[in-house]
Amino acid sequence: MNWSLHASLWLCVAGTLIVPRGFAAEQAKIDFAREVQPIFIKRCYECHGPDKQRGNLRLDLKTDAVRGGKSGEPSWIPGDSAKSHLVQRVTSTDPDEQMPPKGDRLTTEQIVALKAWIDQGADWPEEKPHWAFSKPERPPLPAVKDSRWPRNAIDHFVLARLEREKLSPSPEADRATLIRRLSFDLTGLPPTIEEVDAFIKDRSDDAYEKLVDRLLASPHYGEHVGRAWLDLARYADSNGYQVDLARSMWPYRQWVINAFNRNMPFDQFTIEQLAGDLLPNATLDQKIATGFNRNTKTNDEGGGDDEEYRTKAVKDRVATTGTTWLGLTLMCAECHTHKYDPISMEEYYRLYAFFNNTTDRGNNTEPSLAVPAPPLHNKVNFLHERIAAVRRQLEDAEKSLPAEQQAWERRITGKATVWTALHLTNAISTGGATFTNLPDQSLLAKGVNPTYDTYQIEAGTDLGDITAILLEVLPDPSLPKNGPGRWSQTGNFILDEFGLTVLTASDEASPEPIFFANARADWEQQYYRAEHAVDRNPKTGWAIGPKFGQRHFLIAQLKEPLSLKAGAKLGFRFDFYHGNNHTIGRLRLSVTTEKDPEALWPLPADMADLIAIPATQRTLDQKQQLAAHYRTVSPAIREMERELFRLNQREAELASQKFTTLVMKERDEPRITYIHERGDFLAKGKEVTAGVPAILPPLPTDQPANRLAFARWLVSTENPLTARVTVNRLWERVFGTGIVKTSEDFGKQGEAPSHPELLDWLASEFMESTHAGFDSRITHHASRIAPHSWDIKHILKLIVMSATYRQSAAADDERLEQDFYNRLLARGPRFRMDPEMIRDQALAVSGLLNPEIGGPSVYPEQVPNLWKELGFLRPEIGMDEWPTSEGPDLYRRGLYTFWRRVCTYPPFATFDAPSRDVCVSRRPRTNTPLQALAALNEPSLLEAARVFAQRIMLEGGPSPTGQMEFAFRLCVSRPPTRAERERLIAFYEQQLKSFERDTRSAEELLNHGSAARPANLDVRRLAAWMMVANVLLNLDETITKG
Amino acid sequence: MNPVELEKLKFITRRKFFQQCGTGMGALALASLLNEKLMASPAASGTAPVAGPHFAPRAKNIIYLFQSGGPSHLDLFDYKPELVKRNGQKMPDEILKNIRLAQIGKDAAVLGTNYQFKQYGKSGVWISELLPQLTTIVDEVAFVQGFYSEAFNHDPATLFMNTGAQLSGRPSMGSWFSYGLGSENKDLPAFVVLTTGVGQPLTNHAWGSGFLPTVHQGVQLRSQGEPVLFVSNPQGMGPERRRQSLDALRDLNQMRYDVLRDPEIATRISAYELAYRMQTSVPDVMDISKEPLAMHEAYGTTPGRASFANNCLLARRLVERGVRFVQLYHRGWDHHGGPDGNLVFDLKKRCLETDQPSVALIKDLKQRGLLDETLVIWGGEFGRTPMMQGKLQPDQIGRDHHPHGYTVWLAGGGIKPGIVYGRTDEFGFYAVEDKVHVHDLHATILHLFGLDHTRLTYRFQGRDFRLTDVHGEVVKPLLA
Repeated sequence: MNWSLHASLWLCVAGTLIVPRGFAAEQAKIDFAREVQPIFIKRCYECHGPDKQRGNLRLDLKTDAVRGGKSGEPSWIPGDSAKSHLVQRVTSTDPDEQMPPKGDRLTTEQIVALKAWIDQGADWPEEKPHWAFSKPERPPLPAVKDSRWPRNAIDHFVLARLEREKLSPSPEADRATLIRRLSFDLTGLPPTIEEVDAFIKDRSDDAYEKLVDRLLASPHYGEHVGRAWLDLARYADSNGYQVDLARSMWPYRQWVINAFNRNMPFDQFTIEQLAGDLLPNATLDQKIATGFNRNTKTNDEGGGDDEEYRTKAVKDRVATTGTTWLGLTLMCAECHTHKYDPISMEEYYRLYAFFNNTTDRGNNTEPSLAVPAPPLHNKVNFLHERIAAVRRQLEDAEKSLPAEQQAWERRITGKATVWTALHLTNAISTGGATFTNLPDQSLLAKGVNPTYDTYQIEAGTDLGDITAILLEVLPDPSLPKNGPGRWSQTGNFILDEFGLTVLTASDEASPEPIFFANARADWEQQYYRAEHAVDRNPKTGWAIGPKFGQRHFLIAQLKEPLSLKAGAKLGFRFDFYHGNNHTIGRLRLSVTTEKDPEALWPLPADMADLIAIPATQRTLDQKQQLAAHYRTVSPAIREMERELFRLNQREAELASQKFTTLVMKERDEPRITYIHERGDFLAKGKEVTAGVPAILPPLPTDQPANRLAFARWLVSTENPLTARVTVNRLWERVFGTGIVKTSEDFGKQGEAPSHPELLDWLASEFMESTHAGFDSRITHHASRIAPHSWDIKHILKLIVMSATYRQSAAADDERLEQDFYNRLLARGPRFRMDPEMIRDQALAVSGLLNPEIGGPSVYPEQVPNLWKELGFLRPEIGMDEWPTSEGPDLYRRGLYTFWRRVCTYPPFATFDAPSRDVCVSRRPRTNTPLQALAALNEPSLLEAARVFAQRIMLEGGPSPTGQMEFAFRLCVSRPPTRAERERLIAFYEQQLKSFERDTRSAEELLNHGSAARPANLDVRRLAAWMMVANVLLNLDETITKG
Repeated sequence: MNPVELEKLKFITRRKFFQQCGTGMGALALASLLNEKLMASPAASGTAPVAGPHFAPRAKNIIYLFQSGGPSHLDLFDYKPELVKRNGQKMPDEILKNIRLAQIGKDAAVLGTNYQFKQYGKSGVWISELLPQLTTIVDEVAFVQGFYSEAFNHDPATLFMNTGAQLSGRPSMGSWFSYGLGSENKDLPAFVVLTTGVGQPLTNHAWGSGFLPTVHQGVQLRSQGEPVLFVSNPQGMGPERRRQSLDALRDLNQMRYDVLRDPEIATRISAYELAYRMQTSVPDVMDISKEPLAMHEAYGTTPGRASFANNCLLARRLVERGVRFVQLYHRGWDHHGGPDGNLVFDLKKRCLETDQPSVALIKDLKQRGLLDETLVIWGGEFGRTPMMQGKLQPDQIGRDHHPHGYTVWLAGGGIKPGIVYGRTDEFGFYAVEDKVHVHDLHATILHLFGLDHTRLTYRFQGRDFRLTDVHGEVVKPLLA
C-alpha cells in the first residue's frame, strides 16, 4: 500500500476517536446485517468461516464469534471498540498482526463501521429466517382507497403500494395498444389489422377476456412461452465445446411447445423433464422430455478427459436446477460452502448425487432415442413444386437447343483441339505428398496424405498470348473411392485457391502474380462453386460432391493474355486449407490461346470427329450423340440439370432421414458420489448420498432417493421456492422485471421482492387454484402427485387481466423521477422485444411468415462463410457452411433457427440472445449501434421490407395516404398521427422522386431475398415503399412491446 | 461509477434538460447531448467506463498478439542445452509424476532443439535463429519465462488465457476492459478482434462478453466481406439515401418520445446515429491501401489480402483511433509432428508470418510515441513438451501441449523493458523461479490500466465475478 494513503487512513480513523461523545448518538445505528456482516463475509470468512477456522476463530456464528479465538479473549467488548481485539487487528500496522493478512487493508469506511457498531453495543440480532425459505402463505388482500380501480387481486397489492408512495396508476391504454401488447405477450406475434378492428369494434363487456382466451388458445402461445423456457433449458443444436458439432435435439423443443400448448400442469412438466424416464411405463414423450438435462455440453476434442466433461455436465445440471426451480445459486457451493445462503459443500454434492447416476458421457452424445419423423409435407411439396418448375424451364430451354447447337458448331469449327496439355515439373507439396508424372501428362499425388496442403507445380510452354487454363481432375484406382480427391471417405477435394504466377529464369525477380477473370466447371458442389477457387478468398473453394470417382474440369480465364519471356515458366499454386485431407489426387493442366470463351469447353475426340461430318450426312445415332454432348456444353442446361440433381437428392434424403434426440438413462449400477475437494473432480473427498439441503423441507421417505423423488420434491407444495420462482418468471416476461428482480437468485444476495405479498399471493394461487385447461386424457398414465393445479395459463391470464397490466406505458416527470425503472408499476410495461420477436414480426407484417409449428431446426438467410472459421459442423459430410434453407423454411419463426453455441445466429446474438452454453434466467436488454446496423441491414429483414412493400402496394388501397395508414397499422396496430403520416409521405415522395431518376438503384435495392416479386408492380414505387418499410420496421415503437 | 449511480446521473441530467427545453426539443440535440462521454449509457454506446479506473493508469491501449495452438517455447525463447544433451533419452520419472499429458505417453523421448540460439541485448536473452527480427528489439521486451497455465487442451486453455476460466461463459479480458474503462473513440467499439491462419478451430467464446452486457463483447473485424457484420448499406441504398431514411426514422421516434417520454427512445435515437457514423469510420480504419510504401515494406503487408502482417498494421491504426483493446489471433502453432504441424516446415512458416510484423508493430508504435501507452503481448495458450511427439524426420517431428512452464513476452505500456523474468527448470518443463500464473498476468495487465483486479467485479447469479476469479497477484518486478 502507498504510504501516504496509509497515513491518511490513520488520520481518518483517529478522527473518529476524538469526536465528542454525542456523535455516536447522532450517528445512525449501524445495521449488523447490512454493514458489518458483509465485511466478515468478504474479508474474514475465507479463514474464519464455515469451512476453515484459523486460530479457532469462527465469525459466521454469533456465539463462536463473540467467544473469540485461541487467545481466549473475546473478539470485541461491546461499547469499547478501542479495547476490542477485532479493531486492534484490523488497524494494526504490524505485518504479523494485521488482518486480513492478504490483499488490501479494510477501507476507512469499513473500519469506521466496525468501530461504531462495537461502540453502539455490538448488536448482533438473531437472524430472521430469510424470507424465501419459508413457505408462502396466501396473504389477505390489502385495503385500498380507490376501490374502483382494481380488477383482480393483483391490483389490490399494486395499488396499496402506489397509494403508500403517493402515486396514482396510469389510465388504461387504448385498445390498439392493448391488443398489440397482449398478442406479443401471449403469442410473440403482432395482431392483424382485422383482429385490431374486431377488438376495437367489440363493445361487449367481456371483449377483453375473449381476446385473452383466444390468444391463450393459439398454437403460437406454446412457441412463445416455450422459447423463454429454452433459455433456461440451455437448448441448442450443437455440442458446445470447441469444435461444437451438430446434435439432434429438436424433439425436446417440440415437446416443450406441445406441453405449453396443452397447458401441462407445471408439476408434471417438471417431473417429466427431470425424471420422465423413471416414471412407471414411461412413454416416448416422457423420455423425450428428459432432454432438458441432456442439453448439457459435450466435448468433441481428442484427448479430453471423459470423466472431466461428464462431471462438468452433472454440475451444470445442479446449477440449472438451482436457477430454474429454486432460484438458488447452488453452483456457489461447488468449491466451498456457500458464502451467503445456507448451502454447505456437502449439501451441494448430495444434490449432485441425484444427477450422477446416468449413463451419458463427457466425450460423446449417447444415449439417444429414435423418434418418429416430423411432418415433412411442406418441405416435400416445396421440392415437388421446384422440381416441376425447373423441368418446365428445362423443356422451354430445350426447344431452342437445336438452333443453339448449330450456332455453337459454327463457332467451334476448326477449333476442335484448343487445349495443349502442359508437361508438369518440379511439383512440390508443402504437406509432404510426392508426385508421379503419368504418360497422359497428368500428375498423381502419393505418399503422405496431409490434412492441409499447398501444391506448387511448374510448367514451361512455347505458346504466346495464353488466354485460359484448363484444370482437369481425374479418377485413379490408387485414390480413395477412385478419387479424384484424397479424402478417404468420398474421394472429394476442396480447392480453396488456384493461383498462377510467372517464374522468371533468374531468382532475383519475385514471381509475378497473374489474375483470373472468372472460372467455370463442368460440375460444382452446392456452396462450392468454381469461381470460389479464383476469388482470392481462402475460405471458399471448388468441390465436386457428390459426383465422385469421375473426371471433372475447371476453366479459368486470364484477365490479360499472357506470353512468357524466354526461360520463364508458369508457376501453379493449389491451396487446400480446408482440412480432412481435402486435396486433389490426380490432375492435368492445359493452356490455350483461343479468344472465344464459347470455344473453350473441352471437346472429346469422338465429338470432334462427329462435328467434322457435315450435319446433313450424320446418322441419327450420331446426331443424338452430338446433341447429348451439347447439353453438357450449354451453361443454361447445365445449371438447370445441376439444380434438378440437387432437388432430387434432397428429396431422397428427406425420405430416408432418421430422427433422434438425446435422453437421460439411469445406470443399473449406482455410481458412488464423493465431494470434489476445491471443486476438482480428481480430488475425491468424503462419500455422500443423494439428499436435499437442510434449510428446505425433507425429501419424502416413502420412495428411493433418486431423480424422480427429487423432481417430486421440487414441486411439492411444501417447497417454499419453486412456485415463487415460477410465477416471478411469468411476471418478468410480461412486465420486463420480476417482482424479485434477480429472478435467478432468491437467496440472501438476491434483490428483495418489490411486492412480497403479491408474490406470495400469486405463488399460493399457482399451487392451489382449480385446474381447468389441461386435457388429462392425453396424460392419464402420468402419475400426478399433487392434487393441485400448477396452472400456467391461469396465472398468465390473471396477470394480463389485471388493471395493472392494462395501464398506458406513457411516463411523465413525476413517474420518472419517483420510479425510473417502473418497479412500482404506476404505468404499463414497455421494453424492447427479443430478437426472435423482431424477426417474427417482420415476417408476419410482410406476409412471409411460415406459421408451421415444430420440426427440425432451419437455416434462414445468413452472412456467408461465418462457419468456415469454426471448422466443420458435420465432418462426416464435410459440411462447414451454413446450409441456407430454401422455400418456406426460410420464413419460419425465430425459435426454429439452428442454434450453434459457438456462433449464435448473429442478428440474435447482437440483440442479447444468450449462447445457451448455460442456463440463463433473464436476458440483458441493451440498446447498441450494432443492433441498429443489424435491424437496418440484415438480409432477411431487408427481404421482409421488400415483400412488405409489395404487400403495401397490393393490399393498401389506391392512395398513398391509405397505403401509408395500412403499412403503419401493420407494424404498430394504431393509425399514424397526422404529423407521423405527413413525415412518412414526405419521405416516400422524396424517395420516389430519387428512384425515378435512378431506376438502377431501385432494381438493386429490390434484389434482396428469394421470395417472389409480382412483375406488375412499378419498380420505382416499390423501391420507395421498400425504403418506407425499412424505416417502419426500425421504429422504436415497432421493436418495442409497449 | 457503479451502474446505479450512472443511471441516476443520466436521469438527473436528462431531467434538467427536460426542464430547460420543455417537451418539443429536437431529438438530435438530445441525442448529441446523450452522446457526451459522461452521459453515454453503457447500453447506448459502450463508450463510458462502468467500473474504473481505480488509480492512475500506466497504459491506455493493449494489443494482444495471441498465437493460437501453442508455440514451442523450447525452439523459440527458452534455450535448454540439457535437452540437447539428453536427446532421445527418457525423461526422469520424478518430473513426470502427477502429470497428465494430452496425446503422448510418459515414455516419450527427450527432444533437444535443432535450432541455433544466441544471446541478445542487455538482458542477454537467448533467441532462436527462427526469430531474427525479434533480436533487434529485445531491449524493449520483457520475456516472462516462468509463465504457466493449467489446461492442456486447446479450447479450455484458450479460454483460460482469455477469460480466466476453462469453461466457456465467462467474459473475456477485452470485455472486462470495455466494461471497466470504456472506449476512447465514440465511432468504434472498445474491443476489436482480428483472426488469421488455419488450424485448431477458434470459438468466439474467447472474445465473448459472457454474462457482461453484449455491448462489451469483442467485435470481430473481418478481412473479407463486410468488416463488421451489417455495417454496409444494402445494394441500391447509398449513404445519402441511408441518411434520408435515418432522418425520417429519427423524426418519427422523436414524435413518439414526445408522447411517451420513455428515455429508452432517446437512447435508441443516439444508437442509430452512432451506427451511421460507424458506417464510415469502420471501413476507413480497415483500408490500409493508403499507408505509405515504407510502412507496407516494414510490416510485409499486402492490401486486400488476409494476413497476420495486415492485422498488425490494422492494430496500430485501431489503437491510434482510440480502440482500447485489439486482439489478434494467429492460428497454426499446434505442432504435434506430421505433415500439417511439425517443428521444421510449419514452425518456420509461422515464424516467417509473425516475426517481421510483430517487430514492425513495436517499432512503429515506438516511432509514433505510442509504445509507452500501448501494451503489446505475444504468446499462446500453452507451450510444448520437452519430449518429442511424432518421428525423427523433418515432416514428422513435433511436441505435445505443455502448460507447466513456457514463455510469453510483453512490451510497452508500463512494462519494464529489456528483462528476462523467471525461468523454467533445466528441462524447460516446470516454471521454477519467479513463476507467473495466468491469473497473475491478468492481474498485472489490469494493474497497468489502473484497475484493481479484486475490485473489477460484476454480479452474476448471485456472485461477484472477477477476471482473476479468486486468485492472481500483480507481478511488480515486471512494472517499469
